[in-house]
Amino acid sequence: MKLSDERRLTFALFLFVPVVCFFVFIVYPIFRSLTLSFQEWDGLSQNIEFVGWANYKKIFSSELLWVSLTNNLKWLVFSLLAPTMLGFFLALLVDQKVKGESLFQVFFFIPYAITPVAVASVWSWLYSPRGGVINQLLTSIGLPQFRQVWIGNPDIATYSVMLASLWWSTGFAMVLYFSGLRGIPPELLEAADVDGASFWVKLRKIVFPQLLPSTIVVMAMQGISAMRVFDLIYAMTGGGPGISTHVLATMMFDVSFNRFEMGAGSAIAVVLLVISSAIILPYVFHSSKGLEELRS
Amino acid sequence: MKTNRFSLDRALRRSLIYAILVAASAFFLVPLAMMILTSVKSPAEIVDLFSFPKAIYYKNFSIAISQIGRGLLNSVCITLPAVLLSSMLGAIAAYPLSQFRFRGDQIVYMVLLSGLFVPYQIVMIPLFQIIRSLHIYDTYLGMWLVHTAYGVPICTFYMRNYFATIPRSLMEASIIDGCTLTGYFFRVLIKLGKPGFSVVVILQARAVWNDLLFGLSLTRSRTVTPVTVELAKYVGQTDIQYGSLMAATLISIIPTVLIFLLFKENFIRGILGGSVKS
Amino acid sequence: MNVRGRIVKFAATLFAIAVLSNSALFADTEIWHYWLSGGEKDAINALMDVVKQENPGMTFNAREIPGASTEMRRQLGSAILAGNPPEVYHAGLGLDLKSYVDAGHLRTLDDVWAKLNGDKIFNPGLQKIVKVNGHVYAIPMNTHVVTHIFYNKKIFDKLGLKPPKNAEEFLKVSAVLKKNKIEPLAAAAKAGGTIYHIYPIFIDVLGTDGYMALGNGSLSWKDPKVRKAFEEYRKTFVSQYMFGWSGYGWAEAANEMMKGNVAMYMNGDWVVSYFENAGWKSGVDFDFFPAPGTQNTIVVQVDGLASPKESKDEKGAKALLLSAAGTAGQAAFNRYKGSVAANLTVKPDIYKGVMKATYDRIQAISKSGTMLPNLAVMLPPPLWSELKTQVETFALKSDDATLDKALNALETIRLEQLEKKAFANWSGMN
Repeated sequence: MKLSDERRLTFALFLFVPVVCFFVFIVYPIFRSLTLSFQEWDGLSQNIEFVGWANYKKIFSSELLWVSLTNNLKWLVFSLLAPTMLGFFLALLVDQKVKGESLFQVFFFIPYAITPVAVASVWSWLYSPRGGVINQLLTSIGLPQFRQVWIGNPDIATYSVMLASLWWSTGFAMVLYFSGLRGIPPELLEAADVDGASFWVKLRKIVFPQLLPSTIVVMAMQGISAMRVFDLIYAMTGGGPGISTHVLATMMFDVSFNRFEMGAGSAIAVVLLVISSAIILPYVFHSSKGLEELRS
Repeated sequence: MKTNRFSLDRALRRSLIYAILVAASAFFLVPLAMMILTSVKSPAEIVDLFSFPKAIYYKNFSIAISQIGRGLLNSVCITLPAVLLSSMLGAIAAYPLSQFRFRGDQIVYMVLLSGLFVPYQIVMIPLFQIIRSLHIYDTYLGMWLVHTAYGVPICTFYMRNYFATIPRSLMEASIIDGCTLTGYFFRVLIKLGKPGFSVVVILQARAVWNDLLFGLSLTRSRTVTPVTVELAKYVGQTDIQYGSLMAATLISIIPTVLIFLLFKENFIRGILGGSVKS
Repeated sequence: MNVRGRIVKFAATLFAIAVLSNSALFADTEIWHYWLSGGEKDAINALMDVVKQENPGMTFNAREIPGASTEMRRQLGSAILAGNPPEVYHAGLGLDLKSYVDAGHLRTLDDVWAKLNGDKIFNPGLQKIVKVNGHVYAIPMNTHVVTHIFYNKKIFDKLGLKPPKNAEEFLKVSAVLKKNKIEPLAAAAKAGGTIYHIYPIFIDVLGTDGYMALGNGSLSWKDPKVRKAFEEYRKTFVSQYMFGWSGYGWAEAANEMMKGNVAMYMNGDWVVSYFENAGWKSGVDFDFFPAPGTQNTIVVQVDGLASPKESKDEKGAKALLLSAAGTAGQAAFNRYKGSVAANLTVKPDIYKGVMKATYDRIQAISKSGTMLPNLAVMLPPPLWSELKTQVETFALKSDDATLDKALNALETIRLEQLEKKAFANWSGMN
């Protein structure tokens, strides 16, 4: 469609306010932080010293960074796979014309409405070694040997937090997939039935491709939240025990506000930004292309 | 023959499905049930986890309200305008990006979208300094602006996807009928975009309501602090009174749950890309 | 459009209300603190009552900052930058205080000090950590001891146990407890659940001089004596920690002792007010003994109050601090806090039970023992943070490889901080 100058101007105006907001509140602070990452500041004093790459050297030689990075990767894999698959599985089940499907939807989605801090407090309590619901339940059904120190054992603490996160975020995937499933044109499925296709064939050939848009949305959201994860971990374990549950976001907080090394903290934030972009940008780019094709 | 086996198969399958769904529901509901149960028990009764209280211990709720009541009001005052502003802004940005190809449209879209994965930590300190210099630190206005700005990526994303499903032919037809571009947006597109809006409104409402870090670093007074910060204060205390903590949690989640229940239909329809195709 | 218009008006009204009610707050003299739970809350309330009584013309507002010193520093820093900090805040002392002073953010309180005759009424050791370069910048509120071990007296009496005086006796007592299916020692993750446990070991193995050397950065963490200290910590304490200790917060760990699952609990004596609030009686249900190795020493943690220079009401600030440091204010505060007042003129009759015993012990040590400051006030923040983490990590996995990593990490930071000249030369407390 040809664009006259008048039209171009109109559209530029439309984009003006959002873009300005974006630059002032998002882009500019990022650049400030970038600058700060090359400086040293304790958050209080007036003197801010330029130190070049020293902050980056420091954090890359610390064990904490590599632990955090590994954990972020674990979270990425987990977030992309677990809530999505569980959400899809549950959506599939609810889609089978079960009675009370609205009710089930509500049940699965409610945890997602709760703020992570609240999730953290409830689950910390559930995980309590002696008085917690989970260990008590295990004891009462005769399996005391499976009791764990869920968030106190550095080897499993991260997974315990992940379980709380799964509880929290599966609902979103489920609802999205459910709508997607209901949105599949029934003619497609009926035609497949006429051809005698089995459940699994229908799944592979019709359902999966039709759900691609939903999957893109879910995975994008999950990927983003995996890199950003902070609230839940911070409130449940604070990065501990030891340093076992730290992710980049919590590490940044710890370095900036417990050690008062704002420069190093900003460096970590920059690393976080770079990695998040590297992982998510190509994905978003690819998916927006895909939607272009769908549109035309 | 085939029918009989079929119905047995089907019966078994259906029971299995129900069993799994019920078990899953238990997983999702039990923590919440424990939360509600604990919120109505007195401190002494809480020690015995699975017991039922003799009577509803209202004190938990009165303590909870005195702690987070004002925070609830603040959250409402912050969330409503912020959600309206950011969804409008998202739609405004999405309009040109969805209806036209122009030089750099991909780039603009990518740039805006990249705001999605900006981790809060990287902007925390500079953002505080900006807000302060604009003299809107610790105010509702400051929170509205910040949430709106940070809502631009996700709202643009959704609204663009939604608008993209509306055929360009509709716009071309309106223009032929004498409608201006701006007119088309405000008179036609927005009305058609209602399902998309519902999705965005719900997502944004949830995001703004549940935000912790912005509230923590950009507000101070009891008269501005949102409920999440107040709740976090509560959780962070050294000797946690579980009864009132659970009561406070319960109170704080009711608004978001209500919105989901009320707008469920729109939410779902919006995700399906609108029924405008007809 | 009508609905939208109404919503906008509604929001605008609320906004206006919010802004208006906001401005009323700035008239009060403000104090920020993180004395949030149980007895602590009562303590600050009682203190504010005294302050208000002694200053009838002024209005005061106390604001809670949950998240302890970390959050306090963050919010205070923000407020100072924003130009509206509170008149008084709950301050850490020693190096924490010094960092604020070096940044030029605190008022000197020499005049308040002179009015109080501060040099006479405060323990000389405490004086050292509120003064920087000869000027006073904070008022000490109390003296918490962090090297006492609390125990469930009923359990001890039932099993005929006596408080141990050294490491061997401690292990013997623990063995008896274990035989009777009671866990010996409680610990917790987060917020200092393990760090204080290593202090008595440091004192025992390195001597008080060695402890101070760690504090002012002159002793290497790779020194074989330091290594030995960690190994002793492993042998004496870590081996006796209760099941799942790392899954508990300190209040929950205290609950375990109250329920009778664990017999001993080592943490600062702020837990005393926690126990008493939960219904326990001093000396009947619980009591304390000095941690093995500290027969002649105590390590103290002190809460302080300081005043940011950028706050508006200097007069109000100094009035508040004067009242807080005075006999009445200190008595009111410490009666509920579970700590011994810093002001020596406070009569000991406000202390009952365990607190009285603590008071007596502090007096005794002041005369003929050594009072040491908490390493927290001596170490630069990165090193303090690292020490806490490493002690906890080591307690979780106490093999030699972990110990090597821990000591290396600590040494790296020590050298880094030495280069930055971040250590201060504390020459002890008495």
